[in-house]
Amino acid sequence: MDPAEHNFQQLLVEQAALHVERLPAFEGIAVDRLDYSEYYNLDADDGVCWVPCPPNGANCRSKSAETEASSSAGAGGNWTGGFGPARSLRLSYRDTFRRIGKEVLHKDNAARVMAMNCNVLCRIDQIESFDLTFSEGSSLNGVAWTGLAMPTILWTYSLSGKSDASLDAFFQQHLLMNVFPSAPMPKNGNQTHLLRCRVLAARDADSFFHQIT
Amino acid sequence: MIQPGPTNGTIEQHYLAYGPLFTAMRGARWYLAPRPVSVSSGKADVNAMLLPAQQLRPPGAAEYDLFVPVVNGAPGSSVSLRLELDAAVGAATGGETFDVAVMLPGTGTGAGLAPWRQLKQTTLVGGVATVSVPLGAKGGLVLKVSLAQKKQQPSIFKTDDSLHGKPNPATNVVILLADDFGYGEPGKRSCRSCC
Repeated sequence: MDPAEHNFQQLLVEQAALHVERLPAFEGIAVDRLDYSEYYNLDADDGVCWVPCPPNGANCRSKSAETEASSSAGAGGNWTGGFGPARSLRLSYRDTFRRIGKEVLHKDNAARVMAMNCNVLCRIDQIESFDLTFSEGSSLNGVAWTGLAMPTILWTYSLSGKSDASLDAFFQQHLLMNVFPSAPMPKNGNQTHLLRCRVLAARDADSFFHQIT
Repeated sequence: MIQPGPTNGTIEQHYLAYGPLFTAMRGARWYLAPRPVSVSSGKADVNAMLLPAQQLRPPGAAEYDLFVPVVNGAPGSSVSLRLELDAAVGAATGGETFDVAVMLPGTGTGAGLAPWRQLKQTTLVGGVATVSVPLGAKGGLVLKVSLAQKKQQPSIFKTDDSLHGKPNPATNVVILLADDFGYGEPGKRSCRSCC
């Protein structure tokens, strides 16, 4: 799904607005995974991207002599299909995050949180609208870069069986990179649930939730 | 699997031991200056984080707090750190003094904040200072450098009543008192909503 498609983007913005409107204690959202933004929408054109595409694609163009030449030089690799315009979902995600932030969650300087689980893909250029990252995976040094601009939390997986020295190393490496380890919780699963529980902790949260879903 | 409760006391003990160090660094951001801190003697890994200037800081409080995690050292060892601080933290002219304190893991009680242990006050010479730090039993700690308020660069938040509402002669900026922003009074405007 390309969130820059107008109707879909409008739906996402309206969903966020409904949360603010109907959940009195609503504190924010956590966006789960940034890695899907690496895909391209071959049915759109952002004016920049020019990517490989199936030869029978609607917007796909045959290889030109110029492309053939660059392909033989290595730029196109062994790709035998065509090339054509596309829209990078990086741009789509960024634009949608910006709208949700400016038009809803951060409107009038409201103190609502936009958190991001960037998974294996922490890109500085994708986090301008966020207040913190809350990421899965084990790439401690990778997620640490988001700490240039905002608090950074990394999920903690199993620490069972680790020696005292290993535990010291675990916590000290987090200190070194200014990354906060997530708190202990039973059944470490998808820990964006932690944030979800926090958001829905208000009295009557369930009934509000069912009203809007 | 980590779990709350007494089922795995060792892991929880480590969370409690290091928790105050993380709490102390809350809000700090990477300090992007070229090698502001390095290990000149001994073995450890270091980094530098800066707690952003507090625009509405209490009178007399340090203008900047620089946090230096000193980790992965040998238990019981000491290291010497070379601090090279620049104008971004008010250390351009040299001769500034600053307080240095350390917090070691496991020195707190329960989940409370571990106390900062003050080291001797240190003077910057040409923006550079050397600090000797004992790393403690776990070979790691967080060091805090509290730079004194700058003397040569007047703050727009002076608390001199005689200058209230008038341009500061040194900066030509209209001086506002902390009270103008409701500093310290719950329920009044925060900086985010008023700036």
